[in-house]
Amino acid sequence: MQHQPLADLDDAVLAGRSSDGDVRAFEVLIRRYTPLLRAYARRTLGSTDELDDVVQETFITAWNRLDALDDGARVKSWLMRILSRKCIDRIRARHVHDDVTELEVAAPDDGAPDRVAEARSREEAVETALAELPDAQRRCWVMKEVLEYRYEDIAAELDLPVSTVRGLLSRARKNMIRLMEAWR
Amino acid sequence: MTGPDDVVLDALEPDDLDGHTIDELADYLDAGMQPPDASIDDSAACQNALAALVRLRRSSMGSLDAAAEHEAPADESWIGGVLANISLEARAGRDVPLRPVAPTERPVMTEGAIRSLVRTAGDVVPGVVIARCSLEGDVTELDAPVRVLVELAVRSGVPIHAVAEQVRSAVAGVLAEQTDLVVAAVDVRVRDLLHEQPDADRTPHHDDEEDRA
Amino acid sequence: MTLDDETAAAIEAAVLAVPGVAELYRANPGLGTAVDSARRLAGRAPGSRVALDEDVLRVVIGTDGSVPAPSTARAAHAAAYEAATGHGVTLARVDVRIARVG
Repeated sequence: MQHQPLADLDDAVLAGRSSDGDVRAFEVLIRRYTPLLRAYARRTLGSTDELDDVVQETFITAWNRLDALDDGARVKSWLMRILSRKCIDRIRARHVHDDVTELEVAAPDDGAPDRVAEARSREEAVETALAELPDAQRRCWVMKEVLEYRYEDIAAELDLPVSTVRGLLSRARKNMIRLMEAWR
Repeated sequence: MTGPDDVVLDALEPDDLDGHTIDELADYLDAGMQPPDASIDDSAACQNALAALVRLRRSSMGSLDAAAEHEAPADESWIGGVLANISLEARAGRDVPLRPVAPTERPVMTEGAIRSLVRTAGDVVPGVVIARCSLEGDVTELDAPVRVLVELAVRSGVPIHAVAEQVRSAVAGVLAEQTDLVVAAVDVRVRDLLHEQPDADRTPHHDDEEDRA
Repeated sequence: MTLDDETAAAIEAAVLAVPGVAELYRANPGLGTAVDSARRLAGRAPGSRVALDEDVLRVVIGTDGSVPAPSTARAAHAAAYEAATGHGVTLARVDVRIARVG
């Protein structure tokens, strides 16, 4: 009999036990992070039938690759990186012409600051601002700032030169800072 | 209308950031602001830009966490869908021999099964959770001495030496009874305090039924 | 040599009847739960959870901890051996693998 409910354990302990083969511990991680992964997938793929599949696949891949997770405390961002890769694959599969790497230099339009200003919370403001970015800038931003990829890894994932990734991030940073200044 | 506390961040070119690009500042942030760069640290414009970047980073993850609250939780059939597709094999580890008696026998137990034995034995000790378990040595060879490493998370206030000893004893006991391992030592290390998750998942589910086949 | 459905079923039933045996897993590591017909062993009847590799029978079990695992492995071996040879299978060995305990 266990004295400490598994559901109360922190990520590091759960990830370690999962890696050792504890299916019940892994189940807690599934419950804990399914909503977050769904939210990420929805924002990346749109609201589609694929959401369930891609999130389930993420957990299945994660179980098989738990050896690769060095620091169990970082399992949350690790799961999101696995998901991100699967989302990119699906986006590529959707289009004959790859839109993962479209490089238009378009800036957010003039109405963007107003839309950001209308947000009712800081989180909503950031989400609105992100939605205003051109796709390529948003992807790089999310991969760097949320998923904690390095520049080279973003470049590898998106099949772009590192210099292009840096350029996209540079624009994304300026756009995000400017847009968020519209929100108080 | 601008003042020292109200630097307008509209302007994010090097001219506005005392010669630095926003990207240099982002990289400086990534590096934990080490080694210290006085031209950044002493620049009000740079400090404001850095603060904006920090807030943005936090809010980006925060906005996803907030969005997650509006997503449906994983239900039983959802979870079942994942569990149906994960195999014990993936985490089974090496095959650890048991002692054969007849020449037609070649019994083994997986490392994964042994680890679960250790967890079950150790989890029984109050205030303790087994965090990790591993076997060191030539485990695939019968009678080779093996060291068992156990890492614990303990609840704050629990007497560490006492529980470590209880765990060591429980683990040694279960391995003697359920395996043919020659255990040279059971090393118990307290790695962590047990941390409560901030919003611990209180959804009732079937912890007590775990592993009851 | 191939295991026919009836023999495979008899072996499985015999092993599952052993006190301490909780479940029987597919005896081919790496396939997970997806049956890959291209890689099916010649000696395994479709859908069965025991595998025959020439003259070695492989069985993967989970135990419930009620009996010490080494004893359960011995008993599972004996049950499988008897059931298989009783159906005319020639065996040099039965390899029992415990993949899960309790």
